[in-house]
Amino acid sequence: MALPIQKLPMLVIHLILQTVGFLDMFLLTRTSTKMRRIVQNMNRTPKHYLCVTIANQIMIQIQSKTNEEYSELMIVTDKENEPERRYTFKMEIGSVDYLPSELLARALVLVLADGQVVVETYWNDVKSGCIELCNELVQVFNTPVRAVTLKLDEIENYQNAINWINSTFQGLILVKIEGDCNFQDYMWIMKNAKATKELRFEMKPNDYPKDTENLEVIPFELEGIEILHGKWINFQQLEAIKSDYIKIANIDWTDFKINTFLKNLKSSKEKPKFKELDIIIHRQSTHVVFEGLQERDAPDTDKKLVFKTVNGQKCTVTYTRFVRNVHEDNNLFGFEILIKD
Amino acid sequence: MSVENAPVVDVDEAAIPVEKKMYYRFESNDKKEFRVSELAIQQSETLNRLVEAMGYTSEDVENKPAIAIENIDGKTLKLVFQWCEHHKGEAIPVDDGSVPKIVEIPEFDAKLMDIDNGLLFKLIWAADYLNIVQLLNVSCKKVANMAQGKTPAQLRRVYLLPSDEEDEAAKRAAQEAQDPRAREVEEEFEERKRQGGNSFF
Repeated sequence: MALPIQKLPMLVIHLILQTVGFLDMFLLTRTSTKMRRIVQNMNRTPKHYLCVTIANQIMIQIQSKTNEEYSELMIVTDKENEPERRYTFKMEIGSVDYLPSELLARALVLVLADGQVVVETYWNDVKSGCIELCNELVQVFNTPVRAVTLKLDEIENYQNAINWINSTFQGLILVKIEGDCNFQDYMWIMKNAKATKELRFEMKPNDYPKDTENLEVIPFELEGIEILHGKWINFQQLEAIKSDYIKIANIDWTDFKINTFLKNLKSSKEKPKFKELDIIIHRQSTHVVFEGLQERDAPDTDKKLVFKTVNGQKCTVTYTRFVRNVHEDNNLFGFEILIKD
Repeated sequence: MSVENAPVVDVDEAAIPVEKKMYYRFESNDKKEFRVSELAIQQSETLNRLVEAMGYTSEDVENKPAIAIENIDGKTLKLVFQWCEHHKGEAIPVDDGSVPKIVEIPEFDAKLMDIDNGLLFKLIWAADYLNIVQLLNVSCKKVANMAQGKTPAQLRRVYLLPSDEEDEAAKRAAQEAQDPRAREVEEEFEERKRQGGNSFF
């Protein structure tokens, strides 16, 4: 026997909808206009994020705002890859009335065997499919696409992909790039990837130019920037980044060079553009890095240094362990440089 | 009138303070009577307020007629009070706004709700009417679990969701039932529009 949920009081329907998974909620909106309206009314206050990953497929993650660990997934796949399985169903998405779709166990898609279901959709054109599906999700969950991740190793033309991301998802808060590429491509991506708040460059160049001191300087102005492979970064480049938060890993600086950077920071009349700079670099000792920067009254240790800059700001440098991802137990050490007025 | 053997669930007398040892009598709409402990009643905001407002003494509880709950039948009310007795003394959960809402169904609740969907539907209505927050949470979770891994067509069957056409037909029927003249006027107006006019005047 079925259970007619629409005959329950509206607040109870909302309670049920708050308890169902995000995909279940989305699939419910495919059943009728009335159900879609009920879900949309409930989602007037957005409690979700949408994140898109562009790889050999396009994955759209519906992420809980209240629980960072919880997300559900929709996949946009080329119709050529549509399997002839019994459980394929059709649904209405945007201008497409009968879109072939399939429910998959998440374990089939990702290593995570959490038993969640993934909905895979099959489109004649993956990019326009992504736009149609995103538009539907934006309307149902009342939230824009917040972040895009681009996996270079799984796409054919990274320039097209980045241009498409820039033109399709305007106002993105976060853009993350992963994968391997040559240095020329690397620099093109650095120049052309756009986000309103945060850029995470996690891609790895296969090669580096011999002379990194005379590279073209790329200016950045946004809240946060992370560069995972920063071997090429020089003082001029770092100064051209106007961000509150900067994180650079795999940097190729010597102890003496970090010390010089800190001394420049101390003596500069101009305030630095960052509030936090994390330089991920493993060191056995901080002796050379901290040399000549200690102040008499400051409680310095071999792991921490506090000094006042010429412009009156307080700078705290700590050699510390960084946790990149709560699931990863890798030890990343480096210098955390905090600037306070 | 049939009287259920109350309390529905054994009471741990030692755990209940002396002043709380009062059992209220309730009557369902099919005249079934239940005796429910004061502590169990606290799980229901509606009943708790009601008994507070009544200010019954132990004698009143025995001598006055049972409190009538007119829109819940005995079968449903028995489940409700079984649940309340089992969970008496437990804190009433506060919505933390998490999405999706995290609700665990304890073993007792799962067994209690191992019922047909018709009775589950009534139980949800009762939990909502009596404002029993956690019973409503677990029963809604059970309904939410029915959606897992279902296609839109399957969801339509599981939740008896009408299609757009059925919704439209139901709306028209409701309008007609409410005011048959309104439909006639609407048809007349449509007819005039077809004939080129756009007004009655």
